[in-house]
Amino acid sequence: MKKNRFWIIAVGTLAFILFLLAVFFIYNKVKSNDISLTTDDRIDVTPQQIRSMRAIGQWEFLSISDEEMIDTIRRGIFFDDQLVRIYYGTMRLGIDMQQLRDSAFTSRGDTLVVALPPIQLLDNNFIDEARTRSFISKGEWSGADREALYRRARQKMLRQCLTLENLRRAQEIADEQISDMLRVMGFEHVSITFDTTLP
Amino acid sequence: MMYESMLCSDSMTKEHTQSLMISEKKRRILKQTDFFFVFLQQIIKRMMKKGLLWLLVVGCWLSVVCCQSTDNGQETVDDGQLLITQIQQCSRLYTAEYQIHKIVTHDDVLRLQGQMTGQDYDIALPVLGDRKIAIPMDATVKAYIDFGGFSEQNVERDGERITIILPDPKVKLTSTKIDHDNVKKYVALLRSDFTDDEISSYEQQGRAAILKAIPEMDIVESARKNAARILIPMIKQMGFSERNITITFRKDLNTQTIIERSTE
Repeated sequence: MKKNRFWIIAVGTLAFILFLLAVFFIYNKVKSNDISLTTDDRIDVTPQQIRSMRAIGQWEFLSISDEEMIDTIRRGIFFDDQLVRIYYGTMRLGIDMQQLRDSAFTSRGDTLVVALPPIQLLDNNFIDEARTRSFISKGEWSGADREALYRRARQKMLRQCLTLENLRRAQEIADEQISDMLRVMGFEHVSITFDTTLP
Repeated sequence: MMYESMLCSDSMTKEHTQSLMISEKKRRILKQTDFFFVFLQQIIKRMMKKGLLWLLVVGCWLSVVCCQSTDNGQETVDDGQLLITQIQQCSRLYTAEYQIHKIVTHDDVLRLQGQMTGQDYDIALPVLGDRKIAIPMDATVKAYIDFGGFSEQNVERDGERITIILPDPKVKLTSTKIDHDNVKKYVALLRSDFTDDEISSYEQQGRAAILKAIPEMDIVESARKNAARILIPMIKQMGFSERNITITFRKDLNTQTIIERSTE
């Protein structure tokens, strides 16, 4: 009986030591391992299609680059969802030369009188939406939510940059630049007017 | 002197009685507040015994949360902040505009990657399903001639004849627009949805692909031709005959160098 007990203890101890050795061996092998779940973040190669091409004549005199951070929060019962995106846009102020009248250039004595179309925003789509940076995104947001943010960014940029002061500044630059260009072309005396003169 | 001291002592007694009255009032108020405080303590103790206090606290919290949310349990608060505005004066004649459409697609399968027992592993896990997204986007690319540095060197006058040597046309990506209504996506049940960060990254890659493809488009040649079409009628109005007007460009133009750096 005593002998049997001795053997049970001996085999048990040996098994325990072997188990510890196995654990130590496996740990040593595994500790340098690095396993992670990954995905490929690159987009597929797809062609781009030219939808339209047209001749334009837009003379830009003032460009206003703007960055807007637009934020929206959706209140929930337990947690709030939040989406913060940074939009980039460039508003171009100038004249549309396609609106230039046939009698825009007239001579008055030794002076060349030029009647230019009014200063205006040259592009209605001025936001580079594909450049937009996602700053904070908590919760699920739909395409409609992103479209709403885009519209708000556009309105904000218009309010911020399409001011009477900027339009007036663009008109001054237009006057200066076109006068200089015409002088270079040999017209000593130039008088520039705009169809709609800003106050 | 006596009169002054009497007046002084009189005022002292008045002040004294006033201060006594105020302290008495304070004592009464304190007694009342003490009473309320003890009463409140007793109520709280009884409620705690019955577990009612916790119910009250939870009820108050829920009512506050529910008051904040709207009928459908969701309320949106919008805010915005201006970061940077940069104003630049220029003189650029945009002569050609291209509207480009691109569908950015992305398809990913979860992969188990890493190192195990000294060996590299890269195992696709299609069992977990894949995710697919297609983002349609439109871009506007414009070509322009920069008149900012226009000088006597750009004009040659020979009597009735005028030759204008125009600066090199440049190309600029002026705007991009994502068609959010037509974005299509598929996310397998065991996969997480596309984050806003991921979607923005795909859009940025699509934009970069459009920029990369610009030299393959014939926009520079269009810009040159259109510049002549705009400038010749203008110069004609100034009194020159059409056959005496020449518009030229530099001949050694490299299309790779024309894309404006700011758009990259």
